[in-house]
Amino acid sequence: MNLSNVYSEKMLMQIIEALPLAICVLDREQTVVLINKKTLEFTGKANDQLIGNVGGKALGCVHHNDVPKGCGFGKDCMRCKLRTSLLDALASKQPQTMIETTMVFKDLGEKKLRISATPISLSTGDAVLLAIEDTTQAKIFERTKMEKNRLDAVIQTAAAVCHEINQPLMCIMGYSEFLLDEISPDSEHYANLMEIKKQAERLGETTRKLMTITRYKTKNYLRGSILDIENASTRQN
Amino acid sequence: MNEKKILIVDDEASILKLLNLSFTRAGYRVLTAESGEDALDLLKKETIHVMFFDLNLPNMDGLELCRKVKQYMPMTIIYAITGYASLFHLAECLEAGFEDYFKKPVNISTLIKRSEDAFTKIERWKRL
Repeated sequence: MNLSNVYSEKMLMQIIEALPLAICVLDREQTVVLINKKTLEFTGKANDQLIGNVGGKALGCVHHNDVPKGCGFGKDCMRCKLRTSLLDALASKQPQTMIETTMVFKDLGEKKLRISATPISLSTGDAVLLAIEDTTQAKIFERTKMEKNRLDAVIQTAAAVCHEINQPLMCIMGYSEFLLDEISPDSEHYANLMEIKKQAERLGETTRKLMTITRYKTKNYLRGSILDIENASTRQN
Repeated sequence: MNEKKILIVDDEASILKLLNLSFTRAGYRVLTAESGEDALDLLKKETIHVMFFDLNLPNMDGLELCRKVKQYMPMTIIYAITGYASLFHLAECLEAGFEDYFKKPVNISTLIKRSEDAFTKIERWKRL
């Protein structure tokens, strides 16, 4: 169905303006030819600062003037997923969808973006419709949620370990105390018993730290990482 | 009667055995229960002023048991012993009426010392 047969140009523009994504149309030279309201909000720029400029410059990418030739020619431009998506969409005439990338903008700082580049044909030639979703806040939320889940799992495991270990530990310490009361400090077993009690107390101190874990903190161990009980716990030595 | 009677409630048989032995050696008459329900039954027959409750008991937990005992025996001194407790749990312990709490593993001598303190306090209250 050809939308232009059903909707007027004005109605189609209203729809584009109402989209919750930043929409830009770029021509073969990657010059911005159309934008919607969300793009103005995202970049914080005026219409005339965007239209007619090359993509990176229009959006305010920090690398757009790394080299005299401008956006698309710098070292970082070779790794730019926005640029690659545009070029791929133009060359393959296939949409490039849901590309996750991070870009640094002069005025906005680092932003996590989800982009889609769809090839379209304009009366002036081939172009690309670029949809940009700012996922920065969503990523922060996701990360916070993930860290919270991780901490919850650590606390639950720590609770189970403490519960299971502290019972026998108390028995080891208790019976060691009995025996120490009964044998002479000169006995050859006295020092050994003292060591058993000391090590049980040491283990007890570790379980006390496990009980006060309030943050997820790891440390390197061999080739992997393990929970850093010392720094994850609020209990200090 | 000067007999020092204490009640220990813990569902872990090894802990119950250890504490029974420890307090008996220290000269106490020790009564034990493995659940809150058993403890309440026992308290209908015996008058006990110093108690140690494990927090993690089956059915009725140590907090609930403490609240129930404190309702009809407010002068009782009850200590909590726990294998695991977060700061939130510990605040709840104090609110429930526990005198203090101990995290396992705890030294037997510490428990006996606190038990002595509890009896001294009760004697002082009786003289008021």
